[in-house]
Amino acid sequence: MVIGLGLALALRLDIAGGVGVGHVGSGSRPIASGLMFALALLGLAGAGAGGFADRTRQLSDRAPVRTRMGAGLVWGLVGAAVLVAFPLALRPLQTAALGASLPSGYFAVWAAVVSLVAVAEEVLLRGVLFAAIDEALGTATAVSLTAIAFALLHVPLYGPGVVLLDLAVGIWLGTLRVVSGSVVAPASAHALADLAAWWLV
Amino acid sequence: VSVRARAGLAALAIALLALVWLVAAPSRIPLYDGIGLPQEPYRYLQPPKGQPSGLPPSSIHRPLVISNGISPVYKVGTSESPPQTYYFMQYGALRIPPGVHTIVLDVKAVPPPGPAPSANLIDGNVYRYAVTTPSGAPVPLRGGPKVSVELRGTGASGSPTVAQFVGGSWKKLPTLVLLGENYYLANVHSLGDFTLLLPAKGAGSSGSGIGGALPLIIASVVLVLLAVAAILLIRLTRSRAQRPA
Repeated sequence: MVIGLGLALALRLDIAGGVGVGHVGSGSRPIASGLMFALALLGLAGAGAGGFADRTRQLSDRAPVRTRMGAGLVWGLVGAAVLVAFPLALRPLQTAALGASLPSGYFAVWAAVVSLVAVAEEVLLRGVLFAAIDEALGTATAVSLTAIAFALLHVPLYGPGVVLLDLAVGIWLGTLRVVSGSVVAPASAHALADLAAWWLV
Repeated sequence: VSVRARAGLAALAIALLALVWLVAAPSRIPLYDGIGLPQEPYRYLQPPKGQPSGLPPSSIHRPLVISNGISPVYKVGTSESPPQTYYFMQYGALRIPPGVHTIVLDVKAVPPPGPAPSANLIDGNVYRYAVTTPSGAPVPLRGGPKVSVELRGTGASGSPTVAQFVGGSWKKLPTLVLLGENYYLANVHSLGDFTLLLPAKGAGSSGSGIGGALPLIIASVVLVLLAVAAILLIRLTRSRAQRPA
């Protein structure tokens, strides 16, 4: 799984190009790289989940699926609100007219791929990897190691300046996983916070 | 995990997040992954021939509160995606006149005050940076604490240099190229008009050698770190399994 994660990252970088700052160009290239990265992560998560099938089953037996989904979504909304609240509170809000200077329909494609990548990362990190580490080394270690992996995963795309923030965000997303007992919470928080960036530039 | 432990973990995580935002807030809204925000075309004040006239460049007009006569640490960028220029000043970088409790920072694109030097081209807009008191008097820099301007290139080939318009001509400043980013930074000793100067075709080189290899280097480091973590994890799991019950 670890080697696969590295290969998925290399694939994404190869397609996306150099280190960016959250702006990796326009056009279809970043869309394609994001899509392929998300699919690679989901593939890895699927392969990894097979290895931990017993643990996954054990976790999913705890509560009915609908209950866990509902609780996860509520926690996801709370999680996204926390992630968005700090930048809103601590820096002046600038609203850029992104849509005005981009082809119509770009937002829909961008939003779909951004959400897919966020969910794929969470399924892999806070889903399969978290369950494996939790089983072997305990919950605190699972939160910490998945946060470290999360921070490192973003360095190639956004630069080393994001490590501290992404570590803290990774711990928060891990906390949502622990508190809600489901990967739905960090996945929805992650996706919503990323989507909010469109209006908070 | 008990309810109390969950609440404690959540409080700790929020506190950590707040602390990081307070001490190391990124100047841009971060994406926690995804494909990056789309990069809009460069907004020209005076579009060069062949460039469509799109949206006008944005400007900054920001009052800042002064406490105890000392200017705050501050970084701000224009509102394009990504911003076309940033202004940054360290704590105490301005010489605040006595009795002044508010200053106003203005950054705006202006027509070039003079032509580019021979064998050079102006790459993008000229930006005027000014800090004034509410009555309009300019606030000078103190010297010592840094003030820097950061300009985004238009993407034209070549290595731009930040230049300041001083005494009727453009003066090139020592320029820091932000690796992997299309930004050029210079520390300045006075405010005024700044732009990027690009060597005319054939005179420049295209970027630094390490820039292109950097993503692969970082990816390799990430891969090695993850591999080490996986090996440790497997060894720990095995040693636990072998331990007698």
